Amino acid sequence: MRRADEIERLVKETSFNASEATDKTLRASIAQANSDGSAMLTLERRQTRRLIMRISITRAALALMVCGAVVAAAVGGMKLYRYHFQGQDADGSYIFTTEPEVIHESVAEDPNGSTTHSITTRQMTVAMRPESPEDTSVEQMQTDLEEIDQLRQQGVRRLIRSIDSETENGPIRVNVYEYTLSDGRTITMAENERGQD
Amino acid sequence: MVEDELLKLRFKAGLADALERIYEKYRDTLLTLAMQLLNDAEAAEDIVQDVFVSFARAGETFGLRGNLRSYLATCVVNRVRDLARARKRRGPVVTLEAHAPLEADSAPPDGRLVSNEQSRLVARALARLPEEQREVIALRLNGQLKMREIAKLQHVPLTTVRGRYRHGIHRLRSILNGRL
Repeated sequence: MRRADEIERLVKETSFNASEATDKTLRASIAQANSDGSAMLTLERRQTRRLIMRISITRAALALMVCGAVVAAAVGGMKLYRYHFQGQDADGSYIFTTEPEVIHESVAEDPNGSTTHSITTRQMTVAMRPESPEDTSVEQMQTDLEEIDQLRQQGVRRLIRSIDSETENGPIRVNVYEYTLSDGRTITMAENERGQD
Repeated sequence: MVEDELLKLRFKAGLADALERIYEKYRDTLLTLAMQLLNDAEAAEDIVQDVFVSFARAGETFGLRGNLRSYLATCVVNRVRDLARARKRRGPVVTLEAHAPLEADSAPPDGRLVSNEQSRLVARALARLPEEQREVIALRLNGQLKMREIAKLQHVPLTTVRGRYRHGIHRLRSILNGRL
């Protein structure tokens, strides 16, 4: 009789692949669903999120992967975001998100009297990957992120490089900045260029 | 793992290439899982299509924080269960696959899926197992779910899942003995 691990190997090796026709059918369905979904979201509730870039760190104490340019509407002063710790990713990154921020809201009424309420929100997600066990304080990371917000709004940062890429919504540019915190540590972040979603 | 985390974030950001990459990466894994659970190429294709269509529609509202592969595998299992329930409602089920001779090989019907004889034989052997054992084995070995995740999905204690896995593998050994 076969050994159990050999049976496990046989099951693992089982493979059914899509034929060309099946692949074509699946792709067409997904493309259709994707465009339907976008339309539906536009009518109901949109969340603007921003590009994610993973960057390599050389000298920084912390490595950051950023989903979202933290673009604050700095009208009449600084805008500070609160970063909430959401947990750790499989690769050890610490995930933080901001509160969803309403950036547009409208109510439309049709001739039948029914109303459509549209709301657009923006929420930022930041993934921080500590380079050493000493850097794993969640509170410290939250403080760092808030300080980075301030530095950004003051324009105190150094552009390291820009990366251009194509998306379905057209070309976008991601800028990689270096921030020097008050304690001397440097953190590098990849951010969407202002105004791009 | 890292790639999947990035894919999730890029997908949430609405980047079309993320959806395409997820599809390309997991299409055959999910088809294989569906075949292991159903041994029915047409139904497997329908289920995988349904999973990806729902996934694509989720778009920016997608909020998964766990493992992408496990999530998609769980979606497949849930739809397989729905299908099984729908078939039961339609009337007594004649489990043709479960009683078909193991060697009665045929090419995958109408060329929907590409596979080798060994894969088809294993799928037919899996079809002979009780549903819950088949599910545990497929989710563990193909979906790469942890035993405790399967226990949660099946709403049973961890020991029960381990037992189902052990008995399922033992039974497969008997079914496949000398066949390959």
